[in-house]
Amino acid sequence: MEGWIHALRDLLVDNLRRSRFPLPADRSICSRWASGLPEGGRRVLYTSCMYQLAPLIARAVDVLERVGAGSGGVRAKMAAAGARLFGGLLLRPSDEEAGRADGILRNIAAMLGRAGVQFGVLRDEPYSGALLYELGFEEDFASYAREVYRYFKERGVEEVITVDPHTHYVLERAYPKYVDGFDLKVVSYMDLVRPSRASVAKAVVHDSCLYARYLDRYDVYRRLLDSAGVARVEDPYVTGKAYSGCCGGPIESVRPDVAGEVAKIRSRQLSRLSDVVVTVCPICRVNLSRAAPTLKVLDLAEVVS
Amino acid sequence: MIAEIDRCARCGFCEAVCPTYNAVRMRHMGPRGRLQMARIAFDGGAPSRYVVESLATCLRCRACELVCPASIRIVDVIVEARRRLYARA
Repeated sequence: MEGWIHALRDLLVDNLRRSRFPLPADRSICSRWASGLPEGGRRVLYTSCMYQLAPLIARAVDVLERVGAGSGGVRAKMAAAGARLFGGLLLRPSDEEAGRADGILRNIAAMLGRAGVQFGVLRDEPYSGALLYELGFEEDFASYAREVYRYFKERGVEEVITVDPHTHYVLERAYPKYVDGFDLKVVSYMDLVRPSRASVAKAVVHDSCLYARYLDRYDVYRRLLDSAGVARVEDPYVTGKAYSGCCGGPIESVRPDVAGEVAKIRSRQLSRLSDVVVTVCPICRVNLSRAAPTLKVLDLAEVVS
Repeated sequence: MIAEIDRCARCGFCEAVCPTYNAVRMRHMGPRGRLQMARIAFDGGAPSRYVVESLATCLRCRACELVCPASIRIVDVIVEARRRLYARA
């Protein structure tokens, strides 16, 4: 397993060095959604390409499982050796996946516009490095974070609006520890928008671990759903702050078999409350959708507008 | 960090909420097992495959910390042990 983890590290670091994106993929998928929006400025909407990246991680996991990464032993070693090759050959989002990601980001931009928030976008924005940090490759993350910070400063950015918990967490909590003089203001789009309409009447919330237990946002997206008129189904042992289980996403690339089982257990718990699940993280949405295809798993920005 | 590990009374409340423990029911894949695996990593000996598997599969979801009666900073211990383990390799 150790060999596999180090192969993963090499895969991520190589790709970030080459293209500021963690997996081998066409970078144009990251900015398609932003057509018509102004470029740059002091305040930018920073997606870190997470919504387009999430289905690619799911693709990579499918490949990892086929080549035996989760089973350990000789097959895992072979998978590790071939990681760079199969990544380059197979990682492509489907039109449906890419279109869905674009739609979510366009709705976030539209909600910000309606709330009177002025912002620009950076069409060549780099990935935040969250995967390196979460997998435990701290030194690699530190040097990459300094590079990303330099990128923002060179473009005169003073404030970033984030759209997902992983990017928000590393920018707000991890970057200041590793980047000297880090002074970007970090806000979440959820703190700025004022939605009034909803596409569903009733749903259960699947919390992001980072928003609920690290970033103190447990009530924020619940308030947004309430203001849009969505009836929330709650059960303290399923959706309570301490008991809202993880989707398994953070270990998808390390042990896809365990991550898949975690997602199945979580989707079974949620399905007992509602057949519509609202997520606030692109990785949770993809992971739960794969585990329970009959469940309607939607992103917050697909539900409120 | 060792002092944090020493405060574990092995009550097992953390296992009830740990997603990976509930998925596989193996003690090294739950918080109290991970604390003992972290101790091995801090001791600096050659890690077994169980130590690596244990520390690498923590989701960092923090569910365990919210139910720990001793308020042990479980995730901080695991993350630091994992960092040392990877840095050694």
